[in-house]
Amino acid sequence: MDLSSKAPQDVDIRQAWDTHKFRMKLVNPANRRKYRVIVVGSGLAGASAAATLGEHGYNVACFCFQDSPRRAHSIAAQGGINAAKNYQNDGDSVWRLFYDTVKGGDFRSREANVYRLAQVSVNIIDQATAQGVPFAREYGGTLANRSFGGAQVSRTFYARGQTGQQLLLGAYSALERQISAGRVKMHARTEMLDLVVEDGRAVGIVVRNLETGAVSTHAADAVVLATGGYGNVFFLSTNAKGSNVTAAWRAHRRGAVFANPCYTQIHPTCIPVSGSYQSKLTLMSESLRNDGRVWVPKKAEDCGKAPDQIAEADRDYYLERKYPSFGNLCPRDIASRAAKEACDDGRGVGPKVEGVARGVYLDFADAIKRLGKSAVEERYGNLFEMYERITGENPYEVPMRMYPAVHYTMGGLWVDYNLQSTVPGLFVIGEANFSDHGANRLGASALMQGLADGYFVLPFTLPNYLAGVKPGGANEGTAAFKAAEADAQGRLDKLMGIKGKRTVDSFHRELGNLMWEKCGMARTREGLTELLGRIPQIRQEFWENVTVPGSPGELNQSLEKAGRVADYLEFAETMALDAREREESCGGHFRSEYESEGEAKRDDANFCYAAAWEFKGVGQAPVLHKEPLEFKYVPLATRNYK
Amino acid sequence: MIDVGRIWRSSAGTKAAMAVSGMILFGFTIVHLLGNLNMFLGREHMNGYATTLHAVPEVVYATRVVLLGALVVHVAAMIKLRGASNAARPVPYKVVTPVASTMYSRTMRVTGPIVLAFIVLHLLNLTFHGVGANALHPDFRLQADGTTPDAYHNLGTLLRLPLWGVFYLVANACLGFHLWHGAVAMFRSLGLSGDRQMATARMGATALTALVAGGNVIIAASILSRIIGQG
Amino acid sequence: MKLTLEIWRQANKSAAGAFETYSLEGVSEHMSFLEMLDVLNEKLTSEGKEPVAFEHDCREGICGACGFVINGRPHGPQPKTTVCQLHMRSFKDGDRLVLEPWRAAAFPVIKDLVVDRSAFDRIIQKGGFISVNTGSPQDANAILVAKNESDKAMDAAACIGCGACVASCPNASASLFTGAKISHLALLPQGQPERWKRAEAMLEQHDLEGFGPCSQHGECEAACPKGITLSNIARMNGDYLFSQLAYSPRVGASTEGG
Repeated sequence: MDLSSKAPQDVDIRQAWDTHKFRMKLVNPANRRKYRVIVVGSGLAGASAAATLGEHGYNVACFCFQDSPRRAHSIAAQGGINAAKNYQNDGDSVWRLFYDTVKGGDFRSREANVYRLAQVSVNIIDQATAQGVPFAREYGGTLANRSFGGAQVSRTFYARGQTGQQLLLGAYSALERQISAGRVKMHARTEMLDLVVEDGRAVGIVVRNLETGAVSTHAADAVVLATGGYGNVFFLSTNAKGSNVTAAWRAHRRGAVFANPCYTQIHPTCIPVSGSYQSKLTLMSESLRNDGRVWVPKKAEDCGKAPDQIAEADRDYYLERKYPSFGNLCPRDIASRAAKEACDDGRGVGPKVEGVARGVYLDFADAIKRLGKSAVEERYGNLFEMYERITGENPYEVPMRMYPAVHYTMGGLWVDYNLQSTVPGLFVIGEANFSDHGANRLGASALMQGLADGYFVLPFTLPNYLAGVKPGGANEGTAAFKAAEADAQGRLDKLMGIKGKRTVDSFHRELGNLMWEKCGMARTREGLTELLGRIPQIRQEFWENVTVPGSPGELNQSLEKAGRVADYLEFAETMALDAREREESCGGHFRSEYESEGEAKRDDANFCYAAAWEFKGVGQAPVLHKEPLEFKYVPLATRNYK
Repeated sequence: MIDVGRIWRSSAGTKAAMAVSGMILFGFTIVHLLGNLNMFLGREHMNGYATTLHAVPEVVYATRVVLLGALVVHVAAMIKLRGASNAARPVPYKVVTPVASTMYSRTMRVTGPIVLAFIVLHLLNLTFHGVGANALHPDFRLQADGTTPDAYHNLGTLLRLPLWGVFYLVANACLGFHLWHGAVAMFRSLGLSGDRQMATARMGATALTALVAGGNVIIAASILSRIIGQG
Repeated sequence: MKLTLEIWRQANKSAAGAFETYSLEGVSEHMSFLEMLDVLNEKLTSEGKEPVAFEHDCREGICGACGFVINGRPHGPQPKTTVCQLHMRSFKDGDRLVLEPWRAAAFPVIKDLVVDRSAFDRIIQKGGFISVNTGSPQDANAILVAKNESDKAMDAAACIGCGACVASCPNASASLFTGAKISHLALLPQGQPERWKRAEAMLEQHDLEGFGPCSQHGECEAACPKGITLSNIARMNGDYLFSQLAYSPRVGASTEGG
């Protein structure tokens, strides 16, 4: 398997992208409309790519499962978007953003991709501003910045707590403009069920119209997947309910290798689970840790008491105790694991769900005493309101309760420097690929990557591929299309035909709980082995005992979920295997066996590679391929937050 | 060229037509009230006012044409907008729980037709003498000149009758409701978006509405209770 | 707590719908409204019945997918809250709740509580954008925007396109949605070059889609989960009238967008 990155090796990393852009082939403007390009997904990456390719004159078809492209889950990102503008004159630069991202990713990303990401970050801000994205501004009219996620510089641009929404609506407006101009054909409420591969190339997709249930195929000269992450394998996550791995997994089954599936990011400050009916978790901005103090009772028997009944001396401010210099502001993964340890220790607070209280206090009493209520309200008022809306508790009077939750997945389909997967003609952008964040993503970098890929990278690299392909080569009448369509239809019929006893959600919850337990914040070889034994059993029961009501020829939300859960039940196994295979701790992947004094212990000698898994069949072990990662510009170092 | 048809076809254009015509009609009600306050000063003042108004028939007729035009536009806009509104929600809700809309805004559909009926009857009562409409007045009289109505007598005798008096009270209350919402809404229909300007406009509209509706009601009530308009 | 739910059930766009009554026990006050419906759906599925179709995705009040009318109020009784963030503590034991889809000719019911809101996308297609191609902009800080105006633009841009404004409006008007987008762009310098054409094209598309006129009842403002104000409708009206009365397009100029 060829896993060479195809990034230029003969020039300095600073010139790599410019050099590469010049070396790539172009498509004559007059020929562009003859090329059909399919973009699956309409989030930041998908919408920006589809719009830009439309502007260039390609014949684009864009698909999303939601009722409108504006609803893609990028919309939920709160905090902001990083860019190396150095508007604050505080020492930021492309190099520093590159450096921070590689280091933050715990040295498991590809240097050339990360450098390019930092480089084009500045263009994103210009583009979004020109589109009318209402970024926060200073009184003088210039753009405002804030420091985010422990960064030493203020490089984060934001639009209140709705940065993702505003950037997505910007990309969506560009997309709608191209739809109006007839250059992009939008297929909303349409879900991709399979990839069509012919003669080794990606030539189209199989989709289901979610309103009518009709299954159909669409041919193209290239297929772009912008289908997001797989956090919902845990059932409970901060992802939207519809976010799923199906498109990526189906592409994987057709030959695209899947890289680093075990890299998942856990966000430390989410509202805890309140009961077994919980359907999703809500993230509260990390900025809360700037002024809130995290604690749990020292003694387990105090946990049932009201927080104001617990004396100061009986409280354990464990982050301040363990990490005196960073305290409550230590990185996401460290804060998350520390919360889990406290709750595993029986010292969690809040309602017990299935016998265990999983929550820690995030207390603003000191901040209110020090700054005054109005100052706290000024900074966090909208977050406090949101918290109260969900929990019914007033954080000005009672400490907030927090618990970590799955938030983002760094792994994804393997892509080269051109964002092309191992299937020629299949490109993967945004969270769906694996390339830029390594084992851990920095705050405010997800939006940056999605838009970088869609606006500024893919529109250069995709034509380079198209220039070598005869336009209109694929058509829906060939055997490959017929077979893929029959395959997808067969799977739907099979799901409808089981007529078992258990609901789709009950399987999803079972899988999710297990994944969270054994493949969540802390993983062990033993636990993962047990998990790898359990997943095939659940999968088997699913295919024997699931019930999908209704009919396939109509809007059928149970059937949609069933298809997605079926794919999670296959994907989870590869994820667990990857987690077991990686005998080290790095970033979001924490193996309890590999730690020193509670800190993740990387093993650069043996694991400095991207693990790319090749599908060999359901229930069969996938084959591991390795892309070695070299760190020529940012020397390997160990993180230290003590 | 300004495409009047295109403006009219758009919902915002129709609303603007409604606002402008409404503004003209509102303006007339203010003048009309100020004139009628002469009732409090006695027969001579009231009839003198009527005589002055009729002194220049061109002005009277020009005003009537403008007012009639405004009324036609206002009613036509209402018919068009109501049709569009009904078509926009063919299936009604089982449960409707109004939150922000006021009694005034919700009753526009009722107060409008009542006010329209009132205008027609009011004209038949007191204006269109000699066109066979005197039947709608118990004792219609002209002043000594033989052409100008004896406004003081005509109004006084009409509103003393309980049926008409009460109808005028009710109709003017409806007019007040109608103006209350309409006077505020017309500014937004014409594009006034600033919060501070809107607050000022709302205050002004409220004051003028109170003046017109309150004034009319007081006149009618004073006559009905025989405080004025006697003899 | 125990609830009685009267829910609109409709098989598809062309089918006739009707209310069905369900009773649900063991509802926790900590559940979100949609989690309560999840519980109902799990129960229905286990009983071999079809679950209630309703739209939802992010469940944190920002994607705009969810929404139906609860006892006559879009998104339910809590102000500035989408139904996914509405919690059952807003209700009490024994309540009877009537759940209806958004009702508007321009929002045909697809199934149960799911409606087709593609009309919103078509309104945006007519001009809810700034015509700037990727790669062409100047440096972001070359455009100065007064904080006050930028904040107002952000207030308007906060619209999530859920459709509650249409649902609440006695005329089923989408003026708040349309006005919010027109205002967002009209308040920024970047939006000026296309300002008048935008207002004209978007408003006329609004009418074409079959949305009703605005009577300024203010129900939309009260129902809006993001607090978009009526002033945005006024700005749209003003921009539209200006486009018709004062703005002069070049005679013979192409009217093609994009």
